Amino acid sequence: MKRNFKKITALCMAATTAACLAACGAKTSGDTPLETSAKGAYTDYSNGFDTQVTMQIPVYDRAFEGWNVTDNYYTNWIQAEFGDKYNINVEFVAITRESEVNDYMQMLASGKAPDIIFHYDMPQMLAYNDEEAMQELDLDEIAYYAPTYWDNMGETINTYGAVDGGHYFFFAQRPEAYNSITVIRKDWLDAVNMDIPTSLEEFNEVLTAWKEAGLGNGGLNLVQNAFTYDYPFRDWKMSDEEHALYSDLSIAAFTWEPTHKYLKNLNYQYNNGLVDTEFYLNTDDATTQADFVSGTSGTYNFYITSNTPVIDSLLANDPDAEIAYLPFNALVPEGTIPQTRAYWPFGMIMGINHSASDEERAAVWMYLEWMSQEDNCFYLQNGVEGENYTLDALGLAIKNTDYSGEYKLSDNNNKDYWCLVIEGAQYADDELNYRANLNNWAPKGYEYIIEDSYEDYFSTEEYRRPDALFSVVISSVAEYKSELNEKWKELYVKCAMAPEDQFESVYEAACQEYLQAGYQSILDEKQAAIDAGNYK
Amino acid sequence: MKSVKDKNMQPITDRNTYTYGKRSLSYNIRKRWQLYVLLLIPITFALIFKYGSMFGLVIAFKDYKIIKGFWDSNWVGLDVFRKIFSMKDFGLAVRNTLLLNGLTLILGFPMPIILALLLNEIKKKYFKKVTQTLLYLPHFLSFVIIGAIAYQIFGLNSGVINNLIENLGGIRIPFLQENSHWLVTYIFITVWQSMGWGTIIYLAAITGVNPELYEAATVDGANRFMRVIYVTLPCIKPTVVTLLIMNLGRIMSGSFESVYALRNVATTKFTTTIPVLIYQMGITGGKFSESTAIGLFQSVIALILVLTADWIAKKLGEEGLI
Amino acid sequence: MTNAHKKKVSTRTARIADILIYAFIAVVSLSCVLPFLHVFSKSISEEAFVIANKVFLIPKGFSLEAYKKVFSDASIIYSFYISVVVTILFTILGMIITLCAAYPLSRRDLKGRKVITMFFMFTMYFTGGIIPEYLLMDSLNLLDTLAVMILPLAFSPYNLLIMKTSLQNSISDSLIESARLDGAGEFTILSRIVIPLSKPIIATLSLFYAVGRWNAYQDALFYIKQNVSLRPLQLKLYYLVVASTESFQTAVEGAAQLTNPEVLKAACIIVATVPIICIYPFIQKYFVKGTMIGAVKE
Repeated sequence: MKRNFKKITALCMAATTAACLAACGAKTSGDTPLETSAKGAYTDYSNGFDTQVTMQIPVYDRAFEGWNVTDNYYTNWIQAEFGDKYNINVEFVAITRESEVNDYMQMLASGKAPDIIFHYDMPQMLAYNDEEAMQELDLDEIAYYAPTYWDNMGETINTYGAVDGGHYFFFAQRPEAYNSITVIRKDWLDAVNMDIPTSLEEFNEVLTAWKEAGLGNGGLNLVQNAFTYDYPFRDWKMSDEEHALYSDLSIAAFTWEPTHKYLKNLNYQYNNGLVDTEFYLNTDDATTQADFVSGTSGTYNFYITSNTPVIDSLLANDPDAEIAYLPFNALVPEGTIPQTRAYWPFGMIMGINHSASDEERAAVWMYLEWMSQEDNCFYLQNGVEGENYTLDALGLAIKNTDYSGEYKLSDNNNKDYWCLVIEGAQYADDELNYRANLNNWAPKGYEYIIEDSYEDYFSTEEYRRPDALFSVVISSVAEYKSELNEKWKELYVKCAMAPEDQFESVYEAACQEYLQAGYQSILDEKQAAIDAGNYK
Repeated sequence: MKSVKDKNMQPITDRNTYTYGKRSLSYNIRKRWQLYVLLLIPITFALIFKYGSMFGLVIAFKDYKIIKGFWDSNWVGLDVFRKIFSMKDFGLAVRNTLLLNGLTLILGFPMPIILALLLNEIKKKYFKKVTQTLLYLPHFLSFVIIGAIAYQIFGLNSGVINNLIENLGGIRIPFLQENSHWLVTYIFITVWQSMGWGTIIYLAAITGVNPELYEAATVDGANRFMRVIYVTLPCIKPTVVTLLIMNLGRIMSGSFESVYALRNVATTKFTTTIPVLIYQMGITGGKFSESTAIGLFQSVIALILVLTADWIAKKLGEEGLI
Repeated sequence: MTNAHKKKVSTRTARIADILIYAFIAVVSLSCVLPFLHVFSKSISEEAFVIANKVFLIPKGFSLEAYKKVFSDASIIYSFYISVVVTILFTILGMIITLCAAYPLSRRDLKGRKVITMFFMFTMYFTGGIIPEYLLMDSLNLLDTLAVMILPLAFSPYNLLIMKTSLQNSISDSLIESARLDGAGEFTILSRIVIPLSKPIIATLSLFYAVGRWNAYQDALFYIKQNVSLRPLQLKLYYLVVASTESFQTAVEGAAQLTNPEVLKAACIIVATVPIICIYPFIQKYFVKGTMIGAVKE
């Protein structure tokens, strides 16, 4: 009896030790081995699935002419290189870009949604999550099936992917981008003998000079949906608590001092005719572009790309026009540090459909892993060497823009396929990256704009601050967001257009109205979360 | 001679031949069964395609979650309605909706009729054909385009009309950028957009007027104007009444596009309407329960209005809708 | 005043009235065509001037780039064909349904008339919403089919009620009764008497159905997803325009070459609208005076 007991104990111990060793050997990162062994090992599918798994991947359908998003050379290539290898049937599901939320809602309601639920904006993903569309994720599982992907995105997923204690989201990488720029009419500056402004005061002086010379105004558009207008007026570096309480991309901090300063400056500019007095009608890019191109206003903010029509149109309307890059600090009051918002390090936000099976989910991780391999990603982004592109001496892919053969990429370079892992072209080498960006963003002859933007972007790197993250859901944000956005537009325009001597009283009244419309609830809820330490 | 209620009674062949009103149901159906057969087709379509999706209205009383679906979402009774009615902007939206639609109805309803009557007076065929075709062109332009063109024409700083006014020595008028002005301009544009198309139905009705009636009226000494008032108008009255009742039903709804395309954030007194509110709610990609509840509210009001208008019409001696 | 004088005065007033009427109609018609001229001018102008909002009624620069772009893709021709087929089938089906409902309901002696009319009218004000409708189409297996653009909206309570009123008043009961006494069945009455007498209203409602179907693309947007060849013209043009606008907002990746949306938008509107406008002159001839004279001796 005693001998048997000893034998059994020894066996048990041996078994446990073996299990521990096996579990520890499994690839994980960011988690202790103890947690892994508690969950058990994951099935290794590197030789393929026993029964074929159908994996449904969403892809944006932008109705490019002559392009079938679900069946083309590259979808077939993906099936051959990836699907066939692991016995997975890769099915692409078209999501119409213009009506994507509708599409998803309809598919979720009828049970036809693909295995991945995705969107570019966090508020919408939170809304999807609220509808219980996604299943909770096991981060170790991602690390196991997709080690390269986890290396790239693990930290981001850990930091940003949690909602109310559970992990639901995973992400695609977002490389640094600095092609959102403001240009200014250099020839107008020359006409009034002034340099490119380096502070807000100088900028206002320039605008005044322009007005007196009858050249035009400074342009302006309606601020809506994305609230970064107050960054130039913020102190560096404010306390974490204050930052967490007020800084929010989706809700304007109307009652905050930086907003007060912004509105005061706007009021000054408006009343002195320095900016477009009908700015509240400029609700989309087309209207501000029209003003800039026709010579009504002298600045314009946009995402510059190598084939933008803006410069050509401007020159057609005014052949003597010259443009220059306007640095960040031109909009910042004297003595203030130019603070900007740090973009989140992710592009596409994704979740796993609540109805996806374990195998389908594993297949998704393996797909991400496969696409994270440099060769695969490069092929999807660039095509076949010698046909779609040629490699120059430094290893940069120079696209053959006239190519129209079998390997033709989609009109946006297959972006809708590889956007699941990364938002843009990425080379291992920084220099190559820069060269690639130049090619993509700078129109011929205007490389200096991208160069200046690059300089400005990286010289202000240390003053970029990401938004605060709350680890609990602030429900009043979802509740009041759309109302407050409407209120913001109405109230801030009112403040801007008020006579200068009435500005303070109009602003006070507007603050009260804004608070009552729901902002007070948001502040209260956020404060409670901050006091409890539920943020970072 | 009223007939006695007896289902075995034979039809009486006298003046009341075709008023089988007091006969039994089965008798009537047998007698005119072909009519009921004809009705089967539209009834089937209505059942499948209209009533088939009406179960969706139930989410106005539920806390709808897409995954749970219509049946499993939690029942919340009138909570959604309570929430909507207590929304700060709801009262404003109702007032604006009634104001905009009411004024559009009062000023816009007669326009197509007047135009149709005037067109009917035109003898030159070519002129009539061409102008008719031109008149209904605005109907084909979506309000998104009309809105953009409206600002180009009526804009304060650079609008065509204001430029003209200034050149003639006047002061610029904020057609779309001041509250009361906006109201007038909005109604003007909305009426303008639909009046041409609206003449079609009235023109069709006018062709149904018996020419003998015109001859008789002329003989009695009526001039052209009187012929219109005493012959044409009464003859198209049923069409007018029908359309009036149906449009009354839309008074709580109205068009989303027309307001959204013409509004701007500096002139907000009258621009929050119910359709705009629904749009702003739906835009967050959720809140289906709320937008369905508002829609249900609109539908109930519409039904009440239509039934009331129909009853009034009947009291006034008209045929009514139903 | 002598009678001759009276006549002269009245003729003069009639003349003045005529001039006023013609002038009024002319002015109103001109105001209706101006926006269209504006759109047309934009569509044949050069991009740069259109972007700068410099084109109002007169085109600036001359360029057919946008039209070339619209027609460069052969699938546009196919979608035009789809739109035509769908519109024709939809109109025919719609008219059949409307007639089958309006004629019986126009007979005042029909038992259950009020109830059935209410049944139809109810659907004008109560709808389930986009998600239930989508689920319905899905369960009927209509998604991605041609039929989904024809069947669901073919029943229109609005048109039905208009036709019902019209038939009620233009086709008298005595006419029907005399036909019935002659031994005609309801179907014969419908085809031989009712339809020929209602040409104006049938023409009108056919126009309503056709134009409504031609212009609308919302349902196609939701229900035609995987089978892209079934996209009607309006939907294709909508995508064409939106695809151009979208690319200007693409943040990081360089966008493909595209014309400025403004000119393209204008060209798309012209291409989409001109075909259907041309139909009206052909319908006009059906607005002839009714042939009721002498049919019934009251």
